[in-house]
Amino acid sequence: MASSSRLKPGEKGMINVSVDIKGKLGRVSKIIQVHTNDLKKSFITLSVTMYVKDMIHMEKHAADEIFGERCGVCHVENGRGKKKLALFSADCIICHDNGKSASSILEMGRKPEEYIRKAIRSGVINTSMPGFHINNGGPLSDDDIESLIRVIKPQ
Amino acid sequence: MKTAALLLFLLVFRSVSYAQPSVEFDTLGHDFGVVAQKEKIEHIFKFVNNGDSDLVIEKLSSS
Repeated sequence: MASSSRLKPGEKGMINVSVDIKGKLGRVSKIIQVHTNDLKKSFITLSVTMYVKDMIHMEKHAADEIFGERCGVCHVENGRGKKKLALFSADCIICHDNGKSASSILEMGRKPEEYIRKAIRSGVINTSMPGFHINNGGPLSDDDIESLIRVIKPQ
Repeated sequence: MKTAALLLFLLVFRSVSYAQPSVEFDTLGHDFGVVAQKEKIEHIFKFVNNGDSDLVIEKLSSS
């Protein structure tokens, strides 16, 4: 892991950190503790962190993919006919679970209502959030979207 | 009193009177951002001994 365990004054060294992420998903961190004979820094903590996505979700951004046959099984079908929290728990939670890969419900709740409405209807540019309104190829009606806004921003 | 002063002198100047190693890391943390699932991922931490005596990496442990 370390290039050499003894370094002369001025000499450079390396510590190669390897993280096994096979089968892992979500936030992964590794902490490495380095013990040295430097009295001022006898104990140093190094860390690496990352967010691991599975291959299926790596490059899926477009609305037509998310609402399509293959992705829609999870992202749409569970929410059909549902409203309010049941709808949120079926569709939105897939990405917005405690800020898993998208903003958490608390973060969204701090945004103005009009912003939230527009984000759900039309999506958010440069993110994986597609427009969920029927007019944008999504599964949600005006009513469905208003019921979600009340979940995110209770009155 | 003289003994106490001498002891204090020795304690204060002990750290500067001996050669010391000094480890300096480029960075203590690295964020890979979003990565695709694969076997493993690697990062190299670089450091240098800026002191005037040999630096010894005594032990490495990881979580």
